[in-house]
Amino acid sequence: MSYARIKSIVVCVLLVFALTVPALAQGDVIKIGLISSLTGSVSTYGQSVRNAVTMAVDDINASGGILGRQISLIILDDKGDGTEAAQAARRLIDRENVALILGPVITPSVMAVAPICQAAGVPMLTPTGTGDQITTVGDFIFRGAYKDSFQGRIMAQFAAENLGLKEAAIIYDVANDYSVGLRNAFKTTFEELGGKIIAEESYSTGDTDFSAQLTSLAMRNPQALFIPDYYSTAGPILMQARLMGMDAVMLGVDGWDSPDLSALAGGFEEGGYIVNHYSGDVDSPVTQGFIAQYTAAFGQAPDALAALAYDGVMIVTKALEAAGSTDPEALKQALGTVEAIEGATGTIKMDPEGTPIKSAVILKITNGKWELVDRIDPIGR
Amino acid sequence: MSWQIAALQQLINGLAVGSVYALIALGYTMVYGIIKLINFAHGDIYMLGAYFGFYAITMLKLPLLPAMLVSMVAAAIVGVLLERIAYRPLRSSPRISVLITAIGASLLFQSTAQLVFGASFRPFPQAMPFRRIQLGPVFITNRQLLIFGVAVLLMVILHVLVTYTKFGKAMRAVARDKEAALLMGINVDRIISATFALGSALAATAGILVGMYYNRIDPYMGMMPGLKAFVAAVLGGIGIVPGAVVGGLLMGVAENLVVTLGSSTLRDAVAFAVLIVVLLFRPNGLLGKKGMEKV
Repeated sequence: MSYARIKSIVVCVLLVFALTVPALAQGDVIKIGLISSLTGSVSTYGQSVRNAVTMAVDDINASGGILGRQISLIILDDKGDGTEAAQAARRLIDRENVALILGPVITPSVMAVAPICQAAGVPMLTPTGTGDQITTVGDFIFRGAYKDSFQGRIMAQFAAENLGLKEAAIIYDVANDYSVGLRNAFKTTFEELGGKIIAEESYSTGDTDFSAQLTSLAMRNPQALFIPDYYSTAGPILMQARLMGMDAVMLGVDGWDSPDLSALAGGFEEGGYIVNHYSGDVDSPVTQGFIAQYTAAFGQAPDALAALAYDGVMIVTKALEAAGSTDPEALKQALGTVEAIEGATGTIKMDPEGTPIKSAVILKITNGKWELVDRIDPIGR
Repeated sequence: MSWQIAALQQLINGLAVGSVYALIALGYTMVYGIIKLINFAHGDIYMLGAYFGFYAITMLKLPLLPAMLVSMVAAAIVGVLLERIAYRPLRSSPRISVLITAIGASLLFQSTAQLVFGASFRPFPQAMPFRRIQLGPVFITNRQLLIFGVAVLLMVILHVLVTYTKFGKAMRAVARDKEAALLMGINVDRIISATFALGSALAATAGILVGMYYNRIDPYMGMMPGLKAFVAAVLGGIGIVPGAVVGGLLMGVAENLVVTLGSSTLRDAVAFAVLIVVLLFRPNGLLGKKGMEKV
């Protein structure tokens, strides 16, 4: 046998080892995929989610893992884009064989991933997706946040009952399910409560010029303007609206919650109200513990996205323990029945369709800070 | 308030957006006029201009107008390099090859910008206080005034440059007949480079104005305005400098008036419908002359 021949055999043997050794080592870890929007139009959401998830997973691994196994987290970026999210899901399922997918972050991405997970029989939990239609995709699809119909209703009730508003206008993104769903819920409830939507305008995802729509709305002089969109769009709308001299009360949603909102709104977000999942002012030991740990680790206070992502890991942990294995069927059953989890966003109990029953908070931007105005329990949702 | 006042207000908004389209359209039309190329990377030069302005204000701590100059120069250099590296070697190739190269350059700029500047949406430094000037029933913001002022100034400078200077004469000569211009001793390469520099500088200014006006920039911000400005250039008659201005303003006003008179969902559709209608009746654009195209 020639030297070259021997060398090639040795290389082959080494290669086989190189390929099989990690595979053997993987036998005692639980692989979880995280699809998050780390870049793109909603990057602060994705970064918060990644921070909180890695923090929670590190804690779990440090204290011995789940079912005696360590968690191996595979993080992919979907750039806030549905196509990228679907590709990420395929890779996590086909190549990485993950036991479960956490994410994606925003409703349009979730709606691209959910059918893939359902078809492959891989449980999926979006910690932050609020679109109503998410959990209707199938029984493998779960979420860790409230639904848009709940959120939109809470804001409409707050506007009509607490703020005593009679007339409101809406500007929303026709191309985004999230924005459309919130607009529908707000409109229905506000009108049921005797209010009137005096004007409505729409735009498409990616638009930057809202002057035409806002001019139209400003002419009607509404008492309030509801802007159901992400911070990267709501910010410029707020600024452009105020520059036009619109003095309406600005009403928002959980999508406004971002450290970047203020800069994008040029400071004109002041005085606005939003519905959110969580407030740092809540006096629960879990919430306060989470805030302290997150702030120490990342140098900034967590937003609602971070809190939801942290709770998402709590839900998954509890479900894995209850299931006793990573068998998709058992895990699915366990996810659907988790309850009494004390999370950073409150007490969590999964309802039969895969949405947790949780409370919501109303926050007001006062001197650049979110202040707790009201807390609404999920009764009669 | 009545719809007439709303329409008047939309006219002001439309002229502001239209001025931006016009500034970008000028670059398309000048480049087309001179080398018959639709420079699809032009919208991305506009995006780069916005980022250059962003960094000039935040990192170099420059006030708005000097930042604008820095950005114009930087974008002009990018434009010249683009022509030198990507388009010049293909000058004698079929037009389709250059067109595909332009699309490639556009994607390259977008991806590179995403890599270098990050994909996140950025607020633009608001280097100017917020003011609103009431004009009877309607108003105009100081940002809109800035857009009008800068756009008109640049258009006048461009007009003087093209019509009354030796450089302008050379440029028109190259546009008319490249070979003949060469025989007359005109340095055609230099004129083409200068045209790219000029167009890119105008686009960069548009990028900064838009950043100030909308307070949001991102690596993909050039796509839609680039497309609309291209349509504006075709609308006015591609290759004709005043046509780009007319087309841009018309597009801006049309899409804003639609919101008042019809529905905001139709906004983009109407902008492009205007193009189709105009081209049906005037295939060479509004200011185009018949038989300009050599077949």
